[in-house]
Amino acid sequence: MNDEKKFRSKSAKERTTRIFIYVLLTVLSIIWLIPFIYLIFQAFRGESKSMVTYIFPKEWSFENFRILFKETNFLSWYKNTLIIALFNAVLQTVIVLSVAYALSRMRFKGRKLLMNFMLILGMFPGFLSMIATYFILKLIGLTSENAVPGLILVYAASSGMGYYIAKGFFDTIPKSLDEAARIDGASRSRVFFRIIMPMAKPIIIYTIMMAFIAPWGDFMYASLISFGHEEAYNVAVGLYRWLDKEHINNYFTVFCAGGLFVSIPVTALFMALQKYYVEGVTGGAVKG
Amino acid sequence: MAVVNLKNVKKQYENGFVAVHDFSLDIDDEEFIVLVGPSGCGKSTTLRMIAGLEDITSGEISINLKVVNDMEPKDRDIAMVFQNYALYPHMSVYENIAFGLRLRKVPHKEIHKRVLEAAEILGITELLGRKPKQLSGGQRQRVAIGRAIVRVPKVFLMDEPLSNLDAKLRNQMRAEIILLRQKIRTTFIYVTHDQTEAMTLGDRIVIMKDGYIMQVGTPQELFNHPANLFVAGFIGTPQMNFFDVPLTKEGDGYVVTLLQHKYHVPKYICDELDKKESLPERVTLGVRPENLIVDPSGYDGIRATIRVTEMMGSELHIHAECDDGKMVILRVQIADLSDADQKRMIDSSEVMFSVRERTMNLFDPKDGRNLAVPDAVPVPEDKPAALPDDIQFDEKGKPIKKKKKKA
Repeated sequence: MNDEKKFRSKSAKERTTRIFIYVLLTVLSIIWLIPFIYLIFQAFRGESKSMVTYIFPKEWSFENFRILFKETNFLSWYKNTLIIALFNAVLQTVIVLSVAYALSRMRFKGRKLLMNFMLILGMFPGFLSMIATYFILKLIGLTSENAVPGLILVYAASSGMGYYIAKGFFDTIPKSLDEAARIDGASRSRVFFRIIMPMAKPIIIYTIMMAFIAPWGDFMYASLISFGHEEAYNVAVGLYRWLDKEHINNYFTVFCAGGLFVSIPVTALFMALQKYYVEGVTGGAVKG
Repeated sequence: MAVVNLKNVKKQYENGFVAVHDFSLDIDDEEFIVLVGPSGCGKSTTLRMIAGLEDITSGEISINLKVVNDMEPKDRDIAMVFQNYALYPHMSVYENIAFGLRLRKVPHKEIHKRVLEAAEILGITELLGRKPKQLSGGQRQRVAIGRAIVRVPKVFLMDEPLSNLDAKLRNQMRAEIILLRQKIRTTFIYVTHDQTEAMTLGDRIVIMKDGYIMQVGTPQELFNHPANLFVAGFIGTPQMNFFDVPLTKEGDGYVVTLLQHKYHVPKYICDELDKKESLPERVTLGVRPENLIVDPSGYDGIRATIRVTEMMGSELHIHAECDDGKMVILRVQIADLSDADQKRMIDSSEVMFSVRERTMNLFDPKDGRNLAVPDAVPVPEDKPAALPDDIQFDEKGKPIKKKKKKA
């Protein structure tokens, strides 16, 4: 009732602006959603496997999914990607949080230099080091058929450089909490695990999500390191192969079906963990 | 239950700033020591060094005669209450209090008993199941104290524990700390910038400025015989009045002359003055506002024009200007006066006052030392903002940048 009144009392100019904003946002969201809707419909298309110019299928079918699981290596790619992403989610989270906490709390010689160094190093695109990384991995036998452990190593090794956001979060947790715990009898590691970690849920969740998603959709490194060994592909590399000239007419709808499956874990992860994103847990720690 | 000794303790930060210079102090068992001083005087740094939260640059800190310089905070058997409470937000009040005992592997039954006892002492038993965010400021501070007392530490450190509370609650908690102290006999080291807290709580007070100890003594000693001008001005509200006066020998004793009025210097000060090889011709006379006696009849004494009066209820603060332009503050007890007399005093435009001789303090104007206090520390000079001498400004007030000379 009140809201209605309020809305009515708005001036004509304000109302026009508002309508314009809503229309613009609606159009933008439709444009943004079209590829997803297109992907879903194509995955269920039964009439042909090639690319078509219309969205709605003439014939609905699960045939694409059958081909995906029975006639291709998709399940093995999926398994590879899942292993890499899960391992990386654990390793990267541990490394990033440890680095961030150390840089936030400890004062040691060269700390600023190290932080600046990592910042500058992070500005160079990762692919600049691709060839060198490839040869190092090849030397220790972690390419081609051993691409999965190789990729885990590559992702986890560079993860400490992404400490900024977590450090920013730790900086907001008062130092006096660490100090109180240390006086209470806790060692540095106990302070980290018993005091800081329970308060850092939002940043842990954020780090896990980022650490899972990055390798999940990675193409560049995965294609280079698994070069030529189809059983070692991840989903991005595997699926992309179906888009080249010789496969696209036979596999396009299967590609869409695969794409649908690729999006499931990421979506599920987001939906399960999003509530922690907004939840602040530091209330009542210090004066407020 | 411990003696704490600090011997020539110094704290210098990496950027070269010295926060604490050569700090030496012996704290007795079960003593309540208050470190007080303005912001940046090094009092919190000193406390944090005792706690082990800051490294010391040089010197020695010992607890119960055991040097603890390189000992971790957890091994020093101390407890600390922080200004911002520092409660663990994800734990209940019970868990907050029990945390330290759990880490020390105290048996569960014992933990339960001690937590309940501590909660009982502080009156927070009904809050044990709550989380810190569900508590008010005063309750949080009680929990923080509970967390400290439950361990029965050798030394109890408190870093401005009351400064986040409102005035009423602060008075209440101050009284509770005095009661708490009677219940748990242990060594307390308390940091504050509030002189009322320092005066009411401390057995002895340590006044600090710019990292130096200015004076160590009982509240009464500091109030009556401040060691230098800084201590004299810091302790007591309203602030002590200072007058630049000539000091002359007269017979066996000395006199100071304030605006043509002669006042005899008390005997104990004369004795100290006689011991000195040379005496300054002019000294700074310090008299507290309550020791400037107002002549109710308005005839006798030094005349001053009243500029501002502040009615404080039972007393009146008069800000007046002497004939030579010097401002003085007088503090007059008016509770005994009738309403009519009180009104007359508030409304009057002039006041006549004299100095209560036995309460005067004489300071050396050069270094600010009290001439009657042996071994008094001079007041450190205020450091001016670090500006290069040769900096020049243009007409808009912006500094003129010098062109670099080519080599």
